Amino acid sequence: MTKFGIRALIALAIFAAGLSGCSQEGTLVIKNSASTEFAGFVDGTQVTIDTLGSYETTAYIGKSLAVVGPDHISIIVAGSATTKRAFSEEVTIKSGETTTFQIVDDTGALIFTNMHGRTVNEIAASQCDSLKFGPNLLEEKRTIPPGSTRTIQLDAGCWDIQINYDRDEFLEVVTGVEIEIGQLIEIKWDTNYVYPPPASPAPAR
Amino acid sequence: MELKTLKTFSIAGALLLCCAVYSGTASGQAVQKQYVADFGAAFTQATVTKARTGMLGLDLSVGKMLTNGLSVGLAIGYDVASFQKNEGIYARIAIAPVLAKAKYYFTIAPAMQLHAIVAGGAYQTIPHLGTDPIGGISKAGLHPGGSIGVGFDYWRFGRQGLGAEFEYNFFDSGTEDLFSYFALRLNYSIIKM
Repeated sequence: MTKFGIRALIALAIFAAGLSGCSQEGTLVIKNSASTEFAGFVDGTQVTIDTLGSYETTAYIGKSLAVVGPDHISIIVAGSATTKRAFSEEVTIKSGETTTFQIVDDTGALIFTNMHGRTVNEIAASQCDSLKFGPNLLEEKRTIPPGSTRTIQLDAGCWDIQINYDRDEFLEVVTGVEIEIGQLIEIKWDTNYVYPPPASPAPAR
Repeated sequence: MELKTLKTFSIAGALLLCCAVYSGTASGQAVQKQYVADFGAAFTQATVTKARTGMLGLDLSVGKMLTNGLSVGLAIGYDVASFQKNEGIYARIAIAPVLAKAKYYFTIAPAMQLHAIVAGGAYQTIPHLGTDPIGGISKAGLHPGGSIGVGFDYWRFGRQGLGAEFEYNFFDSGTEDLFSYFALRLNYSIIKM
């Protein structure tokens, strides 16, 4: 074989070696800026992230050859936090880059504990300036037995909370519950419960 | 889709420019009305999302020389374009192309030729995968597509030759714009009257 042929084969061998090493990867950082712990899935992997914590993963994109082949990939980030409603979003990760996905509060939450001796059947809420209560806020009609606690997400605003309890389905309303995005409000409910108004700032002297 | 198509045609143009050398006949190479059979073994690599390192491809092509430089024929193969051993499972995607293939030979020296390939036909995908699709493919199916390529032939043993070629294959996966893989192939060729 001539020198040209040998050179051509060597060039092809070097070319082949180069081709097999063109994996594309990118980094995804998920920062939990919400007030509560995030639990969910990142590209099918179960993940929990503490408040102000972060999760980092390397996403394998694929193989490419020069300008041919993938340079990005989309992965699904899904989950929820007490102050973040359940979501599922597609995040695009580019090869060789770090993509940051931020989880932020988009709701407030009520931590409701049943201190009464009977089961709470339903909880409904209405805006303070409305007379109409919405649907049952308990998941899949799950009740709250005595001593148990449930978390209920509520948008920012002033809410009246209607509690349906006991076999006779008594109704009671807790009025004037002010809630903000990212805020957790704890109610240890019993009959005749009155929601304490927020402490007013001390008068200036 | 448009960007990828543009890239594909850019590559095709570049490859053809690379082959822009004089044409002619040299001793030991196929001439008009003869048949050429190529037996190839290749390293095949998918260039799509989630593709892992490629593996082996075996291919056979037979063509008739319509002129001293141009041959037209049929090519078939079995190319494993992505392969990964994962917890005892061999996740892989194999592709069986059935292509009508045109080859144009450029003589560069006695017994030595470069060639350019253009082919079109169907690609049968044969995936054995885990949870992740590769290039959007998770099921077996038949896809229309084609290939372009360049290669080198060395006719040494009378009517036999050795060669190497690079072929870029692409087809519509139905889920992503294009599924593509390349084959870097060593050929053993035979000329028949």
